[in-house]
Amino acid sequence: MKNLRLNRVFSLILMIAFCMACSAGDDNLDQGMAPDKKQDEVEKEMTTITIKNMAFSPAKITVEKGETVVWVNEDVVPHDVTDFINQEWTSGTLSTGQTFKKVIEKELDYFCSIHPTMKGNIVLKK
Amino acid sequence: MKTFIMRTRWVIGAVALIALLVTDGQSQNDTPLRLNDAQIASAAVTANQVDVNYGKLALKKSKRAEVKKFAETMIRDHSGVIDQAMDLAKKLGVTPEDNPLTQQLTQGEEETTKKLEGLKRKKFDKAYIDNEVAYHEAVIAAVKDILIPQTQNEELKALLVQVAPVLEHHLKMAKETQANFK
Ligand SMILES: [Cu+2]
Repeated sequence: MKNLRLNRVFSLILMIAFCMACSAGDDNLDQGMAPDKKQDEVEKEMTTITIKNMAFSPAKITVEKGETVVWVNEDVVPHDVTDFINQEWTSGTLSTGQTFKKVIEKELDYFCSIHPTMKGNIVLKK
Repeated sequence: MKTFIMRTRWVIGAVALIALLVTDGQSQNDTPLRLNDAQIASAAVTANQVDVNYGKLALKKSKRAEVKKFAETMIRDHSGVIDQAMDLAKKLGVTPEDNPLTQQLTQGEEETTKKLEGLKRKKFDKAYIDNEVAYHEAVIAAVKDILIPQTQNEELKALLVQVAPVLEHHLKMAKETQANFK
């Protein structure tokens, strides 16, 4: 369910980016936006974390609250992205080429539960 | 004592494998091992398949949670590497080709499996992990000293370069598990 919503947000961002590209200077962005989405929510950038060579890269990032982070598994083996403190959330197993998106609402410590030495950390911009 | 001898045998086996791989013509065997990309693809797939098979045996024989978890990781990771290697071979139009290294790996697997299968549960756990340490050391040496330097195709080389840290990670995990047995 959550993924579906994220997918929608993602396609929305793509749509808006497309509209902006073909109507630069035109001020009718509203047409490309679902009525239930706030403008600032969809305009935020996505940050990508690459999973490669048995590590999250970059392992530490700073994002704004509400920003979407996407993990891309570019490694030759499956990995996951899992809450480090008490495993509250997890991406599930990500095979090579698969991605996982998460809206960041608070500071996160995460790891790969398959390869527990792989760790990452997300902090919020002050 | 018997376990010690058996363990020593495995280690000797692994060392012999490395010796075979890195021999540079100084032994009685005057031609160093030269492999083409099709043979390297075959050896890479086999090396991974062997460890998947050991992992499956461990899931069948072990009751120890940390051993089972380790075995599951081996199966998942090495299967992932096999998928990548097969996809790439297909893309490049390369058909993996049998060769002395692949044969050595398969033969080593047969012997080790026979020994592991004959062990009772407790002895099995330790023997399996000991073998994982030795096997990953041997395969790391093969990948770094033979496969990567001899690979012609850049994509295949890049794949092997990416496999190295996976193997290193597994070796570290195996050593940590091994330490818990002492
Ligand atoms: Cu991982």
